[in-house]
Amino acid sequence: MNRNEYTGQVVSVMRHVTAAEIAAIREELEGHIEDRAATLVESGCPAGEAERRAIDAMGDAEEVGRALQKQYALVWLVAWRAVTIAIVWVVLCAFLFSFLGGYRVLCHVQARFFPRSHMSGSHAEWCTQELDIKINVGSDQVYIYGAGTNAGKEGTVRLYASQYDRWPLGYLSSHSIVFETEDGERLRGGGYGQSGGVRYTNWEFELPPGTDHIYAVAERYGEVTRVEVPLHWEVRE
Amino acid sequence: MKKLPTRAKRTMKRLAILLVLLAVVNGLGLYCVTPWRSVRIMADICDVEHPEKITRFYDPTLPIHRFALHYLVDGGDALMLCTSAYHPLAGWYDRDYCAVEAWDGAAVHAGLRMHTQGGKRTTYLFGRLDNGYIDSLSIHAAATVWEKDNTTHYEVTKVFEVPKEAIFRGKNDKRYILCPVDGLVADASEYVQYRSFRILGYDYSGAVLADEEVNFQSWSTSAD
Repeated sequence: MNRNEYTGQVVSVMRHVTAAEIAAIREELEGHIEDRAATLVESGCPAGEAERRAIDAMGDAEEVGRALQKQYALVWLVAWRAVTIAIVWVVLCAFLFSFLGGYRVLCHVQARFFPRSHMSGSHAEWCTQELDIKINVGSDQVYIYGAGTNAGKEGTVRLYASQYDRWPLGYLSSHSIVFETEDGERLRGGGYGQSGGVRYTNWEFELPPGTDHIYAVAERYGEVTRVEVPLHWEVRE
Repeated sequence: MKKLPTRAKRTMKRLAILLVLLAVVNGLGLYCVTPWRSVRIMADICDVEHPEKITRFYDPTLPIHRFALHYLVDGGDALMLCTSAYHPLAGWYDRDYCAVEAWDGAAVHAGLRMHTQGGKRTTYLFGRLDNGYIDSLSIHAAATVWEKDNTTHYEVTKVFEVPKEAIFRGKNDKRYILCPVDGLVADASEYVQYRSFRILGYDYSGAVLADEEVNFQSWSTSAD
């Protein structure tokens, strides 16, 4: 019997062994036989005889196979396959949703650091003043990043803000800010759009030209935060 | 000679990879492995900071709630009744939620969460009692019910007496309200416009100690 026949006989009595495991077992057994034969050859034994003796020293092929079988219990094969399926499943599902998560992170970065890049049309033309006012509202942050004014006619003020959860993968709440005058009069007017977990809001008020500031007010569970928003008046056509 | 790794060792290594992967996707909220993770997401949406689980229950009345758990959580300044549902593709995800602000020192804070699917409807009353003398509660609903011709309508006022067993004490020693509400709101087949819900709290002698507005939130899911 040569080493190939011997290892073949060993694996023939093993059950529930995968092709990769069979190849690995045969490689290991052949390696053992080779090492033993090499030692015998060094001590003067002819090569063919050395291999035969090495194979005999391994023991009965079927007994070796049964002994190895204990290390390849079916329950571990089932467990290994189940865990592999679970890994593939989680990776696929997470990969699918990571597109959404990745999109939200991009939206967060844009809203937090480059909110003006979101603007277009008349809003982009109006937003001539840069502001850098950040107000924390719970786990969210409102970033008032720009303003535009027109002292002509009634006196128009437009304010622009982005709102996002401070954690890039967090979720926006419904709490936001309102604006009021020095006297506490609430100012109304504006609209917002929301996508990718961030909100962009613009407000438009009519104020007496020359009003040098108003207040952004955040109210949340009884806590009131009031931040001054400076106004610089321009005359537009 | 390299020793062959046993199946057990290989499986345990792969299991460790799976556990790390689950921890990462769960932590990032990409795939919620536990229902509580999705509850935390809903708490973020409703601005309920530091949510604490008060109780959890299972109610499969609606088809979309068959693989779902309902949670009552308290964040101190706000309460929330929410549902975390499971889908193999999405993991545990936010199904519905209703939050009530509870910071203003009122004696009772209450919410009504209604969910309709097909011809079935579930409505739950939830809340927190911050007045130790309140012994019983009732809900008063005012609504406009529209007939099928969409022109005839009439006003209704209904009262629901909250059962005593709906009031319970949480592990934090505060008193909470949680119960299904039958008969207060209309059947799913009727078209009803709810105008207001109020909760009244009474002491043992029947004197009114509290009269507060109830936050009402309605959800609707298409039938399967």
